[in-house]
Amino acid sequence: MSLMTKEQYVESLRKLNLKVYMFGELVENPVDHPIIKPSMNSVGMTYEMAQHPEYEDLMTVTSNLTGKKVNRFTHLHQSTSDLIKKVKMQRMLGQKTAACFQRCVGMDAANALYSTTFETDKAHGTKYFENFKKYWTMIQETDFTVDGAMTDPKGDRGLGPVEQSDPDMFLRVVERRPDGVVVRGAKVHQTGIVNSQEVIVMPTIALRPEDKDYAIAFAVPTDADGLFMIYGRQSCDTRKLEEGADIDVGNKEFGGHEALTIFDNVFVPNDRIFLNGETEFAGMLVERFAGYHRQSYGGCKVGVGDVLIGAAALAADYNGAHKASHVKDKLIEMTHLNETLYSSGIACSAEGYPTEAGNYQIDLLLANVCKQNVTRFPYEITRLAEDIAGGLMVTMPSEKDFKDPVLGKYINKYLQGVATVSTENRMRILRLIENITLGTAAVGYRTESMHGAGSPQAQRIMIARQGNLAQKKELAKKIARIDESQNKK
Amino acid sequence: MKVGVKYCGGCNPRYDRGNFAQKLSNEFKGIIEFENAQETNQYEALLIISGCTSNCADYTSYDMGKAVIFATEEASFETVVKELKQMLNK
Repeated sequence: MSLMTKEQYVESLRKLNLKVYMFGELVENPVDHPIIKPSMNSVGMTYEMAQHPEYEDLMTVTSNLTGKKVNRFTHLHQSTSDLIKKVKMQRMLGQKTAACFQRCVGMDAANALYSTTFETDKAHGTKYFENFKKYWTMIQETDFTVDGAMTDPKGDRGLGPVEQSDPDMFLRVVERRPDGVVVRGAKVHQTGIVNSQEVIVMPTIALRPEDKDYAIAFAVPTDADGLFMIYGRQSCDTRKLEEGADIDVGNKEFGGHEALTIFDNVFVPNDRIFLNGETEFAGMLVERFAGYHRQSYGGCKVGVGDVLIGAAALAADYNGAHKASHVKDKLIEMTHLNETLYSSGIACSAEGYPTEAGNYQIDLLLANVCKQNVTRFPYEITRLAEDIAGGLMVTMPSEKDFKDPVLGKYINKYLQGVATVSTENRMRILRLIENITLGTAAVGYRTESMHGAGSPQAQRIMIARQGNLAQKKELAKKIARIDESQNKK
Repeated sequence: MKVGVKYCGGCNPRYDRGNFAQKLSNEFKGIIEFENAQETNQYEALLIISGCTSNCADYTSYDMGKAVIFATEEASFETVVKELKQMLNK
């Protein structure tokens, strides 16, 4: 079975013995929990679209490991065309869910590990590449969803892993056995982990020789002994618990999630270890993963942006402001910003190159430019969407009031916009805008755009490194006819 | 006549590709059998329905029969109909 259906995916999640906590309690059935389920539906779309003739060209691809057709989320990119199609797939899925579909981190971790394990083995004579190929072949065969866990809590940001007052602030090896290692620590912001069958764990920063116990990369099932998750809160999340919740949630079917994930003495067998003490390769792994993930944002956020632009245009249609020149201009500006994000996502893919292992890496400079734009443009797009939507987006009464036999008729009367459009439809589109700009989906569209795949400063460091400033100076000198031999010594 | 239909992945289609295929199917009802292209099947022609002019669908692993016909916009409909009719008349 190389391609699961959505139904098979859901059933495979049911078989897991996940330990997920929310509001202080163990969630007995995560798959059917009303707060979690929309996020599972988003991942489900990555399976559903792979079965659909109109989308399979983006969603499926031939594996270099098995020669079989696999979901692109389990693919090791074999060309710049693969990198471009990855971004296109992410845009399409953003359009279909208006949320984070969570499966990108595993794909990005896999591609970073494939090339890094190859180069680690070359330098150290280790067997991580074989370990990883065997593991990833299993993932391609099962079509599992894999979480990519990188971000450690980090404690005092001014201190390295071994200098922390609590050594668990970065995930580390606490015991070495003949058959594997035991790890302890936590990974924060784990997107989609509750909807994943497996988790790949990586270091979070470049490491020094003394950080040997922290240079650990591995994979375990998400229901491994000692692993548990504490579900992250989202703005307006409990609206999903309200009886008959529909209009007020803005996006009833889809969502995303994050969780604080604890590794409390988790055993990792040797054949699931992909880095173990080779500290000089931690930086390479982090940089490659971050590069892929910064590329990803040039697709997924653009797809959500497409929905938000459409929602803003509909809000204007529904209140009769659609012909106003400033509204038209704001929609143009939103589109310009959104397509600029897409442009850099495509550009860093088109300029990709093969690694020593054979899979393709994105252009790091352009991927970092892409993500730097993502830390800004969605904020301006949401500002413009709120501008067009008007204040009603955050002041209108609840769905329950709208359905109340007494109050409903007043709401219906006074919240009417254009006479041909129902008040309910007007409320629906305003709630969708609210959902993306400051509700549950804002986690993915706003703050994740800021900090996901690295905060803005992380990209600026990479842009400084990759920016080729010395060559730019030489260009200027040549044009200005500068003779540096005339400079004072 | 049997025609395989292969779609691009639909990242940002400028028109409804499914509707385009349905319209074609209606136009040639009882004359041409349109089928979602399968790599194992043989066709007299392969129709690529792309959502935009990038036309990025990968169809190299499919049987292309006597011709590969492309649709990249709604307005391609007349051209596609014409090409299919020419094939029928040969």
